Amino acid sequence: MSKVSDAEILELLDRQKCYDVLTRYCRALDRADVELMKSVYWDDAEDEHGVFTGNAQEFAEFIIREIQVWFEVTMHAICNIHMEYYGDTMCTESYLIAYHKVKADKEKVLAVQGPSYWENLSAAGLEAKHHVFFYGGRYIDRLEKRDGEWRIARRQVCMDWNENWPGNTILDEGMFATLTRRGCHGREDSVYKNKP
Amino acid sequence: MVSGSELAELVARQKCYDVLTRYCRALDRADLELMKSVYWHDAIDIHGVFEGNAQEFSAFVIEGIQNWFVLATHNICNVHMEYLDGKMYSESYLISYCQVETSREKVEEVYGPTYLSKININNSGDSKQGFLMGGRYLDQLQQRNGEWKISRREVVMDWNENRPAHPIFDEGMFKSLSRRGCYGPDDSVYANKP
Repeated sequence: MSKVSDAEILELLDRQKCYDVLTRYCRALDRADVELMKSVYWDDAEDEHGVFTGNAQEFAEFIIREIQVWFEVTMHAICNIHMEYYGDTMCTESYLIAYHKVKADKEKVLAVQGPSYWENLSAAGLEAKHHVFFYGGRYIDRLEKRDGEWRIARRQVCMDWNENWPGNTILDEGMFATLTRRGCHGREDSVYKNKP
Repeated sequence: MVSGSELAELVARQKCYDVLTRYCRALDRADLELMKSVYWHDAIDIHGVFEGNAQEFSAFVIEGIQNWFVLATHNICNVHMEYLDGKMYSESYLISYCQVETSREKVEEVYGPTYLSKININNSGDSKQGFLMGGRYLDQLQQRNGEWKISRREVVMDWNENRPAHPIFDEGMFKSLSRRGCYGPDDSVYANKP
C-alpha cells in the first residue's frame, strides 16, 4: 500500500473537524443552546434557512427563541454527509431527518402546519392534542477554515419531504414508561453531564 | 505512535464513505454519470429490482426512479466497515423515504395489487402515497489505481411502512421553506462550490 501523505492526513483531520461542527449544530438546536449554536457559524456567516435568511449569528438568536415557542420536542438527525474538500473550504451536503412535536395548542398547529391540515383532520375526526411532523431535507453548507478553525460560512436548507400526523406519543405506560431519561431543552439534558 | 498501515486504513475508510454517500446523491438527484462513477465497470449489483452489471443497473434505476417516485431520499446512517486484505466490506444502514403519485398504475407497480384496496384514498386528504423503507447495503469496495469504487453491492430489506402521504408545502411554516429538492442539475447541491 502506498504511503499516506501529510496532505491526506490533513484532509482527514479537516473532514473530521467539519463533521464535528455539523453535529454540534444539531445538539445546539435540539437543546436550545444559543451559545453553542453561535459557535458553529463565523460572525459574517449567512444562513438561508427559509424561515430566516440573513446573518447566521442573528439566525441563531432567532431560531433558539422560536424553537422553544413552537415545539415541545425536536430532533435533527443527520445521516449521510458528502464532503467536497477544497483546502480551506469544505462544501458539504448533509441528509437530515427531523422529528418535530408541535406544542399542544391549536393556534400553534395552525401556524406551523396551516389551516388545510387542520380542516382535513377535523373532517376525518382526527384532531388530537399534539401534532407532529417528520421532515426530510438537506443542509447544503460551505465551511471555511480560518486560523485553523472550521465553522460554517454559508448554510442553505433544502426541503425534500415532510409527513404530518396527529401525535400518538406514549410516555407513561408500557415499555416506554421505563425509558425515564428524557431529552429536554436547556442544560438539564443528560448530554451536558457526559464528561470524564 | 500511529503506524503507516493504520493511517492508510483511515484514508481508505474515508474514501469508501465518500463513495457510499455519492451513490445516495446520484440516486436522489437522478444523476446517471455520478452513479456510474461509484461502481467499477465489472461491478455486480444484486438489488432485487435488478440483478446484474452495475453500470446497466445505473441506467435502469435512474430512469426507473423518476418514473416510480415523485421524490426519493436515501439516508444512510451507521456504516460499519471491515478492512480485509486490501478490500473494504461495508454494511450501511439505510432509511429511505419515497413518495408515489396515486394513480392506479403507479401504485400497483410499486405496492402491488392489494394495497389500493386497503387504504381509503378519499379520506387520506391527499393524492400521494409515502413509504419508509429500512434496509442495508452490503458492499464490497475495491481499490484500483488508487481509486475506491464498489465492486459488489447487495441490498437487504429489513422493513417498510406504507401510508397515504400528508405533506405540506404551501401553508404554515413549511411555506417559508422554499428551497426544495428536485431531480436533475437544478438542485441546490450542484451550485455548492467555493
